[in-house]
Order: sequence, then structure tokens, then C-alpha cells
Amino acid sequence: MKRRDFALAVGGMTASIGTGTAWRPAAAQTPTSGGTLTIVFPANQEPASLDGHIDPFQSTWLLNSFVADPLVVLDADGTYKPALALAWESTPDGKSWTFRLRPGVTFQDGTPFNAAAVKYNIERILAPATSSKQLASDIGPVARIDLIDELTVRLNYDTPWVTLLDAMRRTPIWSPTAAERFGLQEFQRNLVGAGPFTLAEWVKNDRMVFRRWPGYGGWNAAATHQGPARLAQVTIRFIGENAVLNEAVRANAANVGFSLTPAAIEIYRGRPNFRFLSLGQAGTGLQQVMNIRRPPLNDIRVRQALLFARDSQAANQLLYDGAYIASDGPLDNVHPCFWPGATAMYRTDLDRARRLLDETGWRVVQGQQIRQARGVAGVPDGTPLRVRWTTIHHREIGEALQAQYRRVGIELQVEQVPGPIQLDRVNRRDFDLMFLRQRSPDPLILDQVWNSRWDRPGGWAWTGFANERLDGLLNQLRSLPSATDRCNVAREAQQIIMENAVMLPTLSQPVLVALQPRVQEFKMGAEGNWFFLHSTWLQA
Amino acid sequence: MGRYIAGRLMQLVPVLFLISVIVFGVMHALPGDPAQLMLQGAEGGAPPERLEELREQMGLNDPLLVQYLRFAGNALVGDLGESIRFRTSVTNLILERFGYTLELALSGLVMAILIGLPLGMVAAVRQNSWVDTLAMSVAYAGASMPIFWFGLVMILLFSFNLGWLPPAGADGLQSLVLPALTLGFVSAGLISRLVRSSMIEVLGEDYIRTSRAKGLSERLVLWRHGLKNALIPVVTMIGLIFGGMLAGAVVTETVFSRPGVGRLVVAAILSKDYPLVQGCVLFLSVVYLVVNLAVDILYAWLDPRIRYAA
Amino acid sequence: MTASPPLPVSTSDEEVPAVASARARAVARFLRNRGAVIGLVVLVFWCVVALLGPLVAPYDPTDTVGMARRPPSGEFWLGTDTLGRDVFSRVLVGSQVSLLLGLISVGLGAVPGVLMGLIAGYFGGWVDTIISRFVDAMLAFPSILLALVIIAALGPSLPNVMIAVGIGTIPLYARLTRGSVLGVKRLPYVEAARVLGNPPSRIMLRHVLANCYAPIVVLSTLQVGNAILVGSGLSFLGLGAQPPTPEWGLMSAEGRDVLRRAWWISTFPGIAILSVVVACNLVGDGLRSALDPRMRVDA
Repeated sequence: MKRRDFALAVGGMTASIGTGTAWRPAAAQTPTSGGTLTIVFPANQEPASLDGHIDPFQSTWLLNSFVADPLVVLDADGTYKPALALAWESTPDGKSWTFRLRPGVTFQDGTPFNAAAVKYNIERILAPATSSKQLASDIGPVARIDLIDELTVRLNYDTPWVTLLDAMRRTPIWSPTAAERFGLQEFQRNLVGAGPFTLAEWVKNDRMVFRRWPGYGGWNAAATHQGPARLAQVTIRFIGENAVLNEAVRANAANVGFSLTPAAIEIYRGRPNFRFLSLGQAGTGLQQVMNIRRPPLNDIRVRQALLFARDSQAANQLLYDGAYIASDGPLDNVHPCFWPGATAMYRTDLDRARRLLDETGWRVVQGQQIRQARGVAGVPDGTPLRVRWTTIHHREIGEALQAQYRRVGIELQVEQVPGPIQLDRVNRRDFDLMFLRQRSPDPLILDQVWNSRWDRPGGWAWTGFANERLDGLLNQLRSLPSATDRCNVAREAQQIIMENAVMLPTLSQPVLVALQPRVQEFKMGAEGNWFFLHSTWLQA
Repeated sequence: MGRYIAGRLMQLVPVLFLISVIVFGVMHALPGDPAQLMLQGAEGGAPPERLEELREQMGLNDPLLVQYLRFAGNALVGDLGESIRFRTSVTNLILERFGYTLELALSGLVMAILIGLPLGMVAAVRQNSWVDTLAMSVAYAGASMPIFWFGLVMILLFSFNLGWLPPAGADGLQSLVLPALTLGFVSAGLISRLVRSSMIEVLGEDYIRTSRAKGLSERLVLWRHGLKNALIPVVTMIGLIFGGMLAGAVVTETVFSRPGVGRLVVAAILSKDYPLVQGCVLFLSVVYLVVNLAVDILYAWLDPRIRYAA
Repeated sequence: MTASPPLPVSTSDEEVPAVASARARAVARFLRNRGAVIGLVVLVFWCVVALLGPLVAPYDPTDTVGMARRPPSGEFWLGTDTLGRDVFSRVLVGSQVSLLLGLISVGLGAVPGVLMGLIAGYFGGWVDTIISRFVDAMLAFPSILLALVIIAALGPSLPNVMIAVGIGTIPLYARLTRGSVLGVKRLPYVEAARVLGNPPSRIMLRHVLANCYAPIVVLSTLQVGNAILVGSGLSFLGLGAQPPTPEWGLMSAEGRDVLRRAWWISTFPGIAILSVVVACNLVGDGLRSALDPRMRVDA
């Protein structure tokens, strides 16, 4: 494995805004050991359960990765690198995956890491009693696990399962002994893995404290040095107030501010005393999917009008000083499989939007700003053209678009609801435009959102849009191993989605990170929501 | 005294019953199926048979009365059910955080008295002077300010601009100062107005005039008689003030990112975690009852007339 | 809940010129209370603003009219908010929302509360026992918790905040009214009305209530301010008014992320709240002193 200078590896989709002159590359320094790194996190990213086998959130897996290395990691350049597995291969049909494991690894409780441990972890995730909310479905229907030898394990599927690595990079490998001893309920307070830190303390709604594990052997490609982590302690503070979250690094209350809000841009951009990173998140972007089962969105012309009448960049300037990332289609513009045709297809064109609406029964009425129905099927005449915009956060985008839509005679009703309410609405299919975001550099998320076979309770295909050709393309994503082929299929799928105008792209949220210059080798992952602390150190 | 306490305890029984009925009733009149909420997030959806199984397991198929009796019975032995979001015992979730809320409320109370008492006394002694006007302006402002806004200004000033105190967390005494100050300032307004009026009343009474006439120094008079008598209405109001602290704590905990039951209940409401809402509300009202009971008993002990009047 | 203890009055009856009626004396006492008069002026000011606000507001309070987060200027007197809306227009129109929040909550608490108190006090006996027990139980419940339970049940919105805050104050009115009724119901003219065969409802409203309105008015005045304050707290928690409603508490809460750089977004609505609530407290205390200095109203 080729070692790289990870401190400088802010590759791929990373844009570094305002890297100051005071910050010098790590290469010029001699790393020191010890110290406490304090990171502030938004309080809404505090996990309910710290067991990533159960909890379905990115932040849980990220926090788990401090305690437990996974088999593989996704490096900043978007490639998979070894961690607890040294090498891996899949059969050409994608039905069988073999991992060769790193020798000489022990868990933090002293028990050995081996093929049986991997098997135990996979089985624990898949066991119904665990009621894993996400990883189980990401790892998929494993038919059989073979222990080839002490350090070789093979996962067999009956259907092709080409996205396994994306699941494994997030899967913490726990000590089977400890997991058994504490049981499903209690293990999350007593995590034991084979990672650089141990969980020392978790004061709910306040902080988590991780301590360096002296037995760690640098078993991760993200580590640039041998042996235990350099930091003696990592403290994560969960901050509920955004103003405090954003200011914490500047006020020297924390070394790193993670996942800040756009208001932080003004604080840190252009300040030489801080490093400020804005990282793209490959995924669907902040999209609103359309319910095409009922008026007014059952008419494609109304849907297209919604697309033509919007000006995402104007909203971006107004709300975020342009700091958000463009997202013009079902996959956002920083996604490796983004289809550029989406940008050209619906450039802001108010006249076009008005013409499309004029063709429908939604007519401009003298003296009224909002159009009214005149002979629209299933709608009483005189009904104003109202479209509901339901979201769980980023309400301001809807509010900014509200003003834009008024210009073409559409009244956007923006409502922000808590997550459970959103799911309740979705279950009843009671929405017009519904927020739906998935984040992954893999195009498989298109399958979850757009394949009509997931149009069922608990599934993510909410729009009611069913297209045989689209489903056929999306089905291939499970089995095509080549990244290029997958992207080509995904692009074709995106074109179909955009032609039918069944979703409204807005913007893509960057992950904003502020660092004090003394923080060295804080290594961001390929996606903004991931980082590695394996070799991080603090300048005196 | 024993009889008085027993009597007061007996009075609690119907109150507790009514509270439990209100909480249970409201929570069960709600739309949304807790079993379904619990299974949400499962990819591909929960199969209907699993849902039915869970409903059975959670006892949601029983008649409402049976469900209430089970809820009340379990609550009596300290079991408040299981949270939907955390999938763990509501009692544990509350107990993990209650210490922080209590710490905040008590230190807020101390702050309120430390600020409110001198403010009220000074205003009373210098009645109708500019000192009085100033003190009362502060008192009115404190009682009339949105607490979250005051808290944010405190953070801005003492954490960001001066860098003296941490802006968030519950890590040691330092991090308690700003939240306690914020919470205390709001109630200080109330206390100072109380103290002022009762001091003025006391100052006008005969025995104070007499002591002055006897040549005792002004300060001694004030301290020995004025303060002691002025404190009585404050003591009677402590229960009410504590209720205000509880209310204020919900907001203060949020502003200062402190763990606590107040924040827990707000999060539970927003995520429709009904068992957790139910448990928190029941728990907090019992705490409130117990505090008020303790205050009453203390008061009755201080002032025997109360016992016989009650 | 803000409880307002009786503030002493500096007036003594000897100094008040002899006037014919008790009412005129009360008015005179009120007008001699500097704080109360200031409060009254502020309240009247806001009521006028609430009535005229939409007419005089320079911009549509819910529309993006400029760049976001512009400081106060000749164009935008109080600056623009995070969405580029005019803060001045929003504060003006918001006065309507916030005053209505205060008044309607008070109505929702006072009407049932006073009725319960009237019935309990007038009829006595088992009716009184039942109502009083119920009121005691409700009083034993911190009103913020009651509000939270109601919001949890009904969902966060402005009308629900009014309901939640209003219901929480029912027992205060009930207890207060009952006490007053007990004081007046044995008065000769009430007895006379009864003997003359007036129906109880008529007696209660025409004769009893008319003579014990003073503490109710005081409590209501104080509660208007309190409701606005509680409402703003609920908005802050996301449990109150929903955007883009120009409710002051919500506006103040919306600007808190940028308090440092765009202080005007949060500060002006905050000052508006402060002024109204202080005014309510001053007027309430002033009324109490003027109507009856010995009156106790634990709001």
C-alpha cells in the first residue's frame, strides 16, 4: 500500500475556501503526540444509539470509526483502501466476495480479529433481533458466509451484489466477545472494536469522550504513521444552537467545527487564522420529489412549469452567498454519475413556464396573482394553483422559491415538519413536493428513489412514477460491476426522470468545516460527512 | 406536624390521578400508530404481520382502560415504558438527564435570589429615588425578556467577545454560570418586585419605627427585621418560581446545549416519541408537586398557624 | 409563568382630591402612577400600529424585497432578514400577530376560567367541590408542561399556541373569580336580585360579575404580556408559530444564527416583545394599585 501525505489530500470534490497563509503543510513539522482534540458537532447529529449495526445515520458510523476500523475505507480520491482487510475481490458475476484479512490484529479487549469475527459481525447485523435500520439492507441478502481460513472470509449471494464495499466501509467490526457479553441493548455504551480510540464517556446531549487506545497498530490506510493514534483524547461536543456551533472554533472553544451552517461562511472565509473547508456531498442533493398521483402535479406541463420557473442560483445567492453547490438533476452536480444534460434541459425561463401553464386549465384571473382552475380534471373551477412544499429542513429554500413561483402564478405553500411526520405523510402519499435526500457516491441511490418496485410502505419511491424502461435500467445497477457502465446506466436513467419532470432539484448542501491552524493531518474522506483522526495531531 | 404532612400527601393522590389521566388521554387521542413509528426506517417497509406482532407486544390492541391501568401501574413502580426513538427505557433516559436539570434549576434559583434580593431591598430603601426606578426597570426588563434572546446575548458577550465562559455544555461549574445567570435573571425580576413591596410594607410598620427610635443603626434594623420579614413572601413563592425555572429550563437547556429533561421532552415532541413525552411530563409534574409540597411543609413548620388553617 | 406581586402605590388617599365616585378615584390613582401611564402609552401605541401596520408597512412582510441580511438603512429602516424581507414591515405587521396571540390566549383562558369560578362560587356545595378539586389539580401542573402536552397533541402552530397557553391559565381565573364571588354573593343587592326571582345566570353575570371584575381585569392585562412571552419561547423551540408568519418570537429566533453579524434581525423583534410585555406588566400593576391596593393576583 502506497503511503501518501494525507494532510494534503483534500481531493476529488473538496474545495478549500480561504486556506490562510498561517496554515502550513504538515510536512514541514514534526508531529507531536498527546493533547485533546475538541470537535463540535450539530446536536441533531448525536446518535440515538451508538451501535452502527442498529442506528442508520452517517454520524453514528463516523463516530464508530474512531473505535472500530472497518474492513475497507473510502479514501479522499474516491477509491477503496485497506483497513482490517488487506485485499478483496469479487467474482465477475458479483455474487461472491472474498476478503483477506490483516494478520496480528486484536480487539481492544484483547481478543483476536479473524474471519470468524467478520462472520459474527455480518450475522449480527442481519439477525432480525438486531433490527438494523440500514446496514442490513446495504449488506444485502447474504446467502452463506464461508470461513476459508483463519484470515480469509467469503460472502456469497444468490443475486449479484456489487455495492458491498460501500456498505463495508461504514460497517464497524466489533469484538464478538464484547458484543455477546453486553448484549444488543448495552453494547452501544460499551463499544469494543479494533480502532485507534476507545469510548471513555458519553454524556447524552452533551459530549462524547474518546481516549487513545495504546494497543492500536495503525491498521488503516488512513494512518500515515505506525502505532497508536497521536491524539491522547478526542472530545465531541454536540451543540444545539447554530450560532454557538459556528462560532466555537473562532472563540477557541473547539479545534474543529464540523458540519457548520452557511452563516459560518462569513465568519471564516478569508480569515487567515483558520482553515475553512467546503466539501461537496455526492447524492441526490436537496431534491423535492413530486407526487404525480393527483392534481395539480399529475399534469406534466405543471411539473415542467415548476422546473422552468425556478432559479436555484438566485436562491443560492440570496440565502447562502452562493456557497451551496448546484444540483440540476436527480444526482447532484458533484456526483460522479451526474448527467449534465439536466442543466440545459430546464434553464430558468419564466415565459416558457407561463406558456406551459396557459396550456393547462390553470388560468390567470383578472386581479389575482395566483392562477385558478378552469376546467382542470378533478379540480373544482376557481381553485387556486397551490403546490405544497414539504421538507424537514432547509425550509428557506422553499421560501426563496415561493417568491419566484408567485411570478408565474403558482402559490407555493412551504411547510417544515419533523421526520416522523414526513414519513407519515409519505406513507399516506399525502404530499405534492416532498423533500427526499440520499447521499452516496454510488448511483444505486437512484434505484431506491426511482425504481417503482420500491413504491411500497417503507420504500423510498414515493412519486407514483412507474416507467418500465427506467426500472430496467435501475435494476442493472445491482449487478453491473464496472463503475463506467454504472454511470452510463445512471445517466440514461436521469434523462428519463428529467424528461418526465418528476422531481425538482434545488441545491446541494456542502459540508462546512472550520479548523484551527494547529490541527494537523485532519483527513477528510471522499465525502464531506467523513473524516479520519488516525494520524491527526495538534501543534503546540 | 405529622398529621399535616399526611394530610397534604393524601391531597396529592387525586391530583396525581388527574395528571396521569390528562397525560395518558392526550397522548392516546393522537393520530399516528406508535408501532408504525417504531418500525419506520426499515428499508422495504415493515411487513404487516411484523406490525401486528409489535402492536400486540406493545399492548396497543387492548382496550384503552386496560392500557391506562397498565401505564399507571407501571408508572407507580417507576417504569415509564420504552422510547420509540431511543429504544430504551424512558425512566433511564430521564434519570440520565435529571441531575443536570436539577442542577440548573437550583443554581438558577440561587442566582435569582442573589440578584433579586439586593435589587428589591435597595429599591425599597431608596423608594421613589432614581435608584428605585433603575432597580425596578431592571426587574421589569428581566421578567419581560424572551429568555432565549437574553441567553444568546449572554453567550455573545461572555463567551465570544470576552472569552470568559464556555458557550455550551455541562462540563463543570464554569459551564453552569451562564445558563444559571440567564435562568436566574428572569426570575430575579419577580423576586425583586416581591421583596420591594414587602420591604416597604415592613419598613412602615411600628416595630421598625420603634427600633429606629431606640437608636439602632439603620443597617441593623434593615437586616434584622426588614430582610427577615421581607423573605416570607419569597419563601411562599419559591414553589411557583421553581415551576418557572422548570419552564425556563426547557429553553435555557436548548440555548446552552445542555443535557436535561426539558430538552429531552422538546425533542420527544418534535419526533413524536409519545411514550417519552408522556414519561417526561409525568415525571416533571411529580417533581413539581413534590417541591411544592416540601415548600408548604417547610412553611408550615416555620409558621405553625398554617397547619391549623389548612 | 410570570407572577406579578402587588406593587405598592406611593399614593395615599389624603393626597387624592376628593372626587365623587370610586371609579374616578381609581383613574386618578392610575394616572398618578408614572410607570403605569408609560405602559399605557406603549400599549396604545402598539394597538394603533397593529391596526394600521399593514397599511403603513413599506413592503410585503412575507416577500423577498432586497438582499438578505442588509443592515438598517434609508431603504430598509430596520434592515432585512435572512431571506431578504424587510424587518421593519415584519415588526409592524407582526404586532398584529403578537397582540392577537396575547388577547386570544387570554380570552381562551379567561372565559372558561371565569365561568367556572362564577359557578363554583355562586352555587357552592358539591359543584364547588368538584370544580375546585379540578382547578387544584390543574394548578398542580406547571402550565408550561400543559402547554407542551397540548402542542404535542395538536402539533405546532400559532392557533395551537393560543389554545395551549390559554388553557394553562384557566385555573388562575377560576380560582380568582371564585374567591371574589364568595365575597360579593352575600351582599344585600345580590340577595335582593335573588329574592326578586332573577334567574341565576342573570344574577351571576349582571350582579355578581359586575362587582368582581377588577382582579380579573388585572390578571388579564398581566397575562397578555405573559402569553406573548410564552408564545415567543415556544416559537424558539420550534413548537410555536410557523414561518413565514411574522410573529415576533419567531422572527427573533430566526435571526439568532446570525446574531453577531446581523444583530438587527433578532434584536428589533426582541425589543418589540420586551416593550409590550413590560407595558402589560406596568399597566397591570398600575391597575391593581389603582383599583384596590390590597388586591392579590398571582398571575
